[in-house]
Amino acid sequence: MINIISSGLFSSFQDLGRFGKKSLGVSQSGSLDKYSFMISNILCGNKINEGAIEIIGGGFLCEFLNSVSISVSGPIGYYLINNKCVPINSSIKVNKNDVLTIPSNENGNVFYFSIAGGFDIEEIIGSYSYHQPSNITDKLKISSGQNYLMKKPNSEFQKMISPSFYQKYLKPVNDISIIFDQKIEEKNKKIVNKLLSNEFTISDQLSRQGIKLNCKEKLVHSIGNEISSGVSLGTVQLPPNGEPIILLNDSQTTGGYTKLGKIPDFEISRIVQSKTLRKIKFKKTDIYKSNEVMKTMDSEFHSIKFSDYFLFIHKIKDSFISVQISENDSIIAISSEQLININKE
Amino acid sequence: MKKISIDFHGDSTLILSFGEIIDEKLNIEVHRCTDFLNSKILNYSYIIDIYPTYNSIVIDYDPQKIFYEDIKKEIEILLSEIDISNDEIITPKIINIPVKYGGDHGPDLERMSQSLNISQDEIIKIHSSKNYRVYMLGFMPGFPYLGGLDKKISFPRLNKPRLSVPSGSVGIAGDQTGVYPFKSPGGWNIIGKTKLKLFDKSNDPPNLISTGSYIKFTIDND
Repeated sequence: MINIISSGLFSSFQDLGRFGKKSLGVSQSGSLDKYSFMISNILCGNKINEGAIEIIGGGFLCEFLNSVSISVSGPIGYYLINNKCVPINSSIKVNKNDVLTIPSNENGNVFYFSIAGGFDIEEIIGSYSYHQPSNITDKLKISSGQNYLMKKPNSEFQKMISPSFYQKYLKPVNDISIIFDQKIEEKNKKIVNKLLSNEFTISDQLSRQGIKLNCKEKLVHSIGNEISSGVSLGTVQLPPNGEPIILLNDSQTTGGYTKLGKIPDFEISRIVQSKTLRKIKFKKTDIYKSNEVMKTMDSEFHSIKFSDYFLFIHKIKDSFISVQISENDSIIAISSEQLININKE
Repeated sequence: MKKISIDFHGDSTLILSFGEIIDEKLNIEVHRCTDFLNSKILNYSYIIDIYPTYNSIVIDYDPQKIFYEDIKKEIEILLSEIDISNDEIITPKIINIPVKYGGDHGPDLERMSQSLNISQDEIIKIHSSKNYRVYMLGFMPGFPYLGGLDKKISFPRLNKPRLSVPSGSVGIAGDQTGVYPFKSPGGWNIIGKTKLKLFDKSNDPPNLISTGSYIKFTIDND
């Protein structure tokens, strides 16, 4: 069993999502950064769609009441077991009364915490995913003081991955790809050009439903609202106020604001890991190019190496240094909570 | 049947557009096509979801399993097989929703009545005399977008939305009427409330109202 000491800013159970229910008005929900979510499960030997705790913003603390292997994935940084630093994107065995802390992290927003064997929670309409706007999934929201049981706790796993997949595909970047809707590209070139030439800022209005972007020059337009129609994860809407919104997993299934296009699925992780005030620019792509990127990314995801490691912890004066050495290639060290990557050479 | 245009929306969604209007006949075509596509391809591994809106069908697919041009071709072939005009008329399903109108259940009815200069009883009579088509579900689980409100009782939405509208509330916003399955913030004028549970996650299917059916509001005097 685990006891949640602090749920942090916003934590909930998630899996890959709730599919095939949009005709009932039920959103897909699911993990915001699905790649980190899957990595978290693989690190502790679970099937990739096992329910995990998604932590937005950090500040999460829990205590373990039995031993088990756990993993934390997400933006590069560290988590703590009692006061030992462990690099994110690795699993480790914890014992009874150990305390896990996931602090906030300057590299990103969203973390996943899995336990080997899975949490003993009930599926709601075929999924473990909490859906923020409706109250049908309230049991899947994490709050401080709650206890959760484990299905089949297993303590075998202590695995790590090299940071290269994260660096290449999940780390926030300044250029975000967009596939414009054909109608917009043909009939509203001005808006397309304005979207491509302006710089936008990730606003603090960021939730599981969507991210509002700020810009100096508002993209005012007279396209008018549409008849409410289907929207999906990654849809870029332009409300009359001229500030675009990127829709995320918990968005409504239908929307009436002008749709400009959609961010390809594989770039959603980068967006949700982008910090408030980060500046971004849109870059145009098409379905052919994005298909190529997706295929390459997919094959690299499937060839990520999950290797066993040793963790050495040294105390030098008042600070701890954790050094993680994998069986074969990489070495990661954390000193005074600073992350250092050391090449083999 | 009219020409249906198939467009991509990003790398994982297709939108089949039937026309740029809200129209009952067109929405019936949308639903028949949705049912047809569901019967043919819903179980294909690359299909994630197929759902109808006012004037289009949305297909979410898995781009790792099929490329846009291939699924588009597949859908075009299927659409050429379907002959909607020859379809037999299906008797629509009518769902009765008993409503307690006015008073605490419908806090905006009195204001609407004064502003429209129509008695509360008359508004209730007009509202409960029609069958409303469920064009689509959206906004929140089980929320029906209904068409066909009598223009006489159309009324602009609140300037300032309420932070919380109780579940089961029946409202009017512009030319639309609807009913809230869940407690939610909302800007609709609330004229009544139903005790029916519109969305129950422990039922299969969880929704009482389905798209393509009709809703009849009845006066609940108990």
